[in-house]
Amino acid sequence: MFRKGLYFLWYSVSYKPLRKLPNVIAKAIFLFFVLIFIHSSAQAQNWDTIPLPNQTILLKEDEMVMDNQKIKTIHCRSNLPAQDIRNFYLRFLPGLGWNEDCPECNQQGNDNARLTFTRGDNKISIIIIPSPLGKKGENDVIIAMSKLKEEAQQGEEYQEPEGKDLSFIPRYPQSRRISSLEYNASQKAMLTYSSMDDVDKILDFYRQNMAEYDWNLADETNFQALPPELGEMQSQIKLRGSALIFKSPRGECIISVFEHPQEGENSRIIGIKYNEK
Amino acid sequence: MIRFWRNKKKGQIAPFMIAVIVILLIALMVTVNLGKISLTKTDTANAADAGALAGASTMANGLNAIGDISDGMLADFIAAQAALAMCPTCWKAWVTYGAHVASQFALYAYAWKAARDTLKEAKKASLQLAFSNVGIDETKPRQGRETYEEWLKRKSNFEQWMEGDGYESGLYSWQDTQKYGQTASAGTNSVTVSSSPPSWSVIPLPGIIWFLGTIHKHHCIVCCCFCYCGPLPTLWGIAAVTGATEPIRLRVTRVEPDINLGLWGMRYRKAGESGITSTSGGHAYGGSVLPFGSDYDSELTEVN
Repeated sequence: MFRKGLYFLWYSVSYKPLRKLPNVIAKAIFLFFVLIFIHSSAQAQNWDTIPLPNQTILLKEDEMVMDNQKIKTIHCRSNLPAQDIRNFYLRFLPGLGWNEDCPECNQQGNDNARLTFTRGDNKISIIIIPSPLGKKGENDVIIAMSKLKEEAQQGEEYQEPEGKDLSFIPRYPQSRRISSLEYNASQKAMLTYSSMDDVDKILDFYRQNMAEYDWNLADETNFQALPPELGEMQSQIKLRGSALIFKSPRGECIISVFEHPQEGENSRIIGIKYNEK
Repeated sequence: MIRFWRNKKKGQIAPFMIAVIVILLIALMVTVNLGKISLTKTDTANAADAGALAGASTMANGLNAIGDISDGMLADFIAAQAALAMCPTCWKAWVTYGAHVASQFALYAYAWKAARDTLKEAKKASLQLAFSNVGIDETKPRQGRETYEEWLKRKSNFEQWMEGDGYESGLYSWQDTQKYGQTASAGTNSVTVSSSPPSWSVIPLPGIIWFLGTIHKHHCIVCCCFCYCGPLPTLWGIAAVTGATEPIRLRVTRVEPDINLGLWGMRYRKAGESGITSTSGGHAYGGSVLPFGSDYDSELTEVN
C-alpha cells in the first residue's frame, strides 16, 4: 500500500506538464510530498494497548483534548472485585515497561482503588470505583492515558494554557482561561474561566449577550434552590452560584458561574459546557 | 275459482297491514336510536384511545429526553474524571471539579423540570387528540350574505376553540337547532374529557469522582498535604423516574340532545342519564433513563 502510494506520487510528479520541469525540481516536489506524508503520519497519536482483566467489558473509548493535549479514555465494567483488578494491573503493566508512580499515592479502599503508572513521558491513571449502573459487586474501571506535561504551580506567573475558546460562545471580558477540554469526538466541550467580578454581573453578561450568538435561554438553576434530592450532596459541596442553560439549532450550552470551591479562594469560576446536537 | 274470489270479504287485510306498519316503524326507530348510540359510543371510544395514546407517546418522548440527559451526564463524568486523573494543579483540579458538579446539578435540575413539563404536555396532547377525534358535528350556519367560498373559508366555532387552546378546559358544548318536541335547553350537546397523567419523581444517580494529585516534576506527588486527595461526591446521571410506566387515563363523555322521537316518549337518552362515556389508558414502557438505557415506547393498556 505504501509502495503504491509512492508510485502514485512519482507518477503524479512525472505528469506530462511536469516532465518539462528540470529533474531536480521534479525530485524536490516528490520529496516535498513524501515529507508531508511522513509528517502527518507522525502527528497521529499511537496509543498503547492496555490489557483488560477477565470478566471485564469495554463500554466506551474516547480521545479527549485537554489544553491541546490528547488524552485517551477507556471506560469498562468488570465483575471482579476492585482488589483483583488492582492486582492485575500491578502484575501486568510493569511487564510492559510501565512503572508504578508514587506507590504511596495509589490508595486502596474497601471497594475502590486508583493507580498511576509512567513510562518515559507517558502516563496512565486507572480508577476503579463501584458501578452505580451495573449489578451489585460490579466495578467501573476508567483508564486515562496521556503524555506527562508539567503545569505552572500556583503562585507562579499566570500563563493562559494552550487551547481555544469557542467562537460561537462569548467570552466574559477580562476573564482568564483555566482549562479547555474537548471530548466525545469533539462533540462536547468544557471550558473554565476565572474572574474577580460578582456572580450576578457575570450571569447578566451571558443573559444579555448569548442572544447575539443565536442562543436562547431555556432554563436557569440557582444552586441554593436545587431539587430536594440533591440537598445532602449540595450540603457537602456548598456550591454557591447559578447556571444558565441555553439552546440553539447548533446544540446546548450550560453556563455555570460559582464561587471557587476551594477554601480561601476569592474568585468566581465560569464553566462553559457545550453539547453539539 | 271465480266464485272463491267473489265470496271473499273485502278490507280484511287492512288491520293486519296497519299492525305490520306500526311494528316496522317501531323497528326503524329502535334501529336509528341504537345506531345513533353505537356511533356516539364509537366516537367517544376513538377519542379516549387517541387521547390516551397521544399522552403515552408524549410521556415516552419525555422519558427518552431525560434518558439522553442522563447519557450526557455520564459522558461528562468520564471526561471530568479523566481530566482529574491527569494530575492538574490543585487550583485547577478544584475548578474542574466545581465546573463538572455545577453542570451536573444544572442538568439534573433541567431533567427534573423536563419531567414536570412532560406530564403537562402529555395532559395537553391527550385532551387535544381526544377532542379532535370525538366527532363533534356542530353545524356551521351561513352568516348574512356569506358566499359559499366565504363560508368554506370561515372556521367553525369548534375550530376556533381548538386553535385558542380551549381544549385545555376539558369541556366543549354547543347548541343544536331546536327540533320538534324539544325545549331550547334540551338541544345542548357537550363533550367532557378528563385526563389524569401519573405523577413522576426523578431519582438522581450519585457517584464519586477521584482527585488523584498534582503534577510535580513529571510525577504525581502525595498532595494531601497541599490539596484534597480522595473521592468527592458527584452525579453520574439519572437513576430512575418513579411512576414512569404508570398509565395516563382518559375519560370521554358525550351528551347528546334529549330529543323526543315522538313515539311513546322514546328518547336518545333517558332523563338524568349523563351521556355516553368511554375510558382508556396508555403508558410508556420498555425503557430506562439510566445512562446507556434503552428507549421507551408507548401503547394502549386500558380500553373500555
